[in-house]
Amino acid sequence: MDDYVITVLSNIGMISFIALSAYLLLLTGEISFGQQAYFGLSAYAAGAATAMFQLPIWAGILVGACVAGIIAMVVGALTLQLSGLYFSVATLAFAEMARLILLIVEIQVEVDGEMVGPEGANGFHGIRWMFERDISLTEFMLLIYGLLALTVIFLLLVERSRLGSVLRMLGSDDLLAEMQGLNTVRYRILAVGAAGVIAGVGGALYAHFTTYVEPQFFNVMLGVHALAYGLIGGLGTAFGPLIGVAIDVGFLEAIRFIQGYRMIVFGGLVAILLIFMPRGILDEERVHRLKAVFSRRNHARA
Amino acid sequence: MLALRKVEKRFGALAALDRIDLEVAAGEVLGLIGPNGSGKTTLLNTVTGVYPPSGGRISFQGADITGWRGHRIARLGIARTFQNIRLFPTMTVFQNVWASQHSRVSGGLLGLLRSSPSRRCGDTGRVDEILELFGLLKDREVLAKNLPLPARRRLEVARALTTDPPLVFLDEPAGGMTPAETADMARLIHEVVAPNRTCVVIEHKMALITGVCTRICVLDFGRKIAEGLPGDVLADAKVREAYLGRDDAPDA
Repeated sequence: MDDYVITVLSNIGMISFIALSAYLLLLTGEISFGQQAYFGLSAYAAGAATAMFQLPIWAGILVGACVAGIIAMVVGALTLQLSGLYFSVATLAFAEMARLILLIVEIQVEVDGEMVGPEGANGFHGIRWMFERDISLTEFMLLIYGLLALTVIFLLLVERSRLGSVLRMLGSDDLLAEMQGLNTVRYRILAVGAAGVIAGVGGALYAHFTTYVEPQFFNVMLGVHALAYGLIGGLGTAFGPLIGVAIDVGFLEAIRFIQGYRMIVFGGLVAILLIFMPRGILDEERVHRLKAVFSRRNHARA
Repeated sequence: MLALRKVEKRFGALAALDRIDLEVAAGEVLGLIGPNGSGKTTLLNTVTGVYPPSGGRISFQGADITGWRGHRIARLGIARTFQNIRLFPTMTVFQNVWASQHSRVSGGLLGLLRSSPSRRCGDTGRVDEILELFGLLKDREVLAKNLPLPARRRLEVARALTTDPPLVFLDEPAGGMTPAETADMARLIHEVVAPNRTCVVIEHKMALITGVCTRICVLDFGRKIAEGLPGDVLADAKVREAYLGRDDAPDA
């Protein structure tokens, strides 16, 4: 594989984390326009851990994911009383606030005679873990997909579990869920925390893949895309948002002649799907039918 | 079993419930009737913790539950249905009933992740038993939104019973049903819901109220205007005026 293909595949993998993050919240019925904040905050935190404090990459990813998860839970607790549009607006406002803070943060330390660290609007350069350890693009791509596979397996297990149906109950009708004896507040905080962690893992990987991060990358369009991926691919299974990312970053990126028109095609696609398949290609009903087909086939075989 | 003392609920200047005193005795089937907007559903919402009362106290089995959040009240053993039918539309019939057992299965976060609907978790046998009683077992794997209305009403009642709550509120269980379907619902309430538990039924259909209730309470403009045995209450002049209209022959 040439470097271009590896880069595209790696991008698909890293963006998938934020798509899964937004998807998890869509399951619980919340539309967040702010998941890019956790991606970005984690990218900074993870970059700081490896570049400024010389920690190994796993520690960097852990630090990033924890920072994102904790901040997400705090923001979640503060915005809990809000629902629908108000929640969406609050998440957007928080994300923009986080981005603007990153634009002015300047904390640099000297490492091997060079100043490293966030440098305000210039971004955070010199996250060179990959080069210092002589890690190839292919190896890093395998790391991305390994962690992505773990995340997807985790989400699939959650979907099969009682927690999965609890989250879908929240998303479907949270008053009804409360009336069934579920502490909806606690599960909502759990969900926003988990979504923060997932976005955080993606952000930590992104910082090390690109070797530098700048606040501009974590603007609201990243969050809007993250939402759109779930809505395109479908909200019936964790594979839905991955399909969404693959369609946008993979397919549309690959078709060179629509280069300048990519956002027009993408926007049109989202609009058409929202009209004809409001819960995406793999929505709950299609997933239910697919499962029925598979279980019938298994029964026939047995 | 359930006691309301001077319970008030105000929405702005409107007193939806005006100092209601109400006792529900263990084992009875209380019919809660009154014209539209008289506060029946508001009373149910206040008791089940959808919103807290603006004043007064509510106690259930000796515990003061005033102002508790809904999930705690549900766990204590008050189940309910909804006037406008609330189901999880994209879950199957089985999952809808099974889901109400969530609060009963403990085990913390790990327990939540380990157990799944396809494996043994919660009392799946009990779920099937209940579905059978309500004639829903054949639709076990159907998505709730694809059921016809009478079956959706039955599913709501079935769901309310899965955790064996001591007190069940049914909010218009025969709403939108034909006379034959209403008779079937009355039979289910009489044979399945009422035995071994206390039940409060909100309903407009007199056939159902007189068929299943042992006592009736009448609300009008947020106030309790009458209470007693079905025959006596329905003969009361004040009730006939409020509920059936002045000088109108009762037609139901």
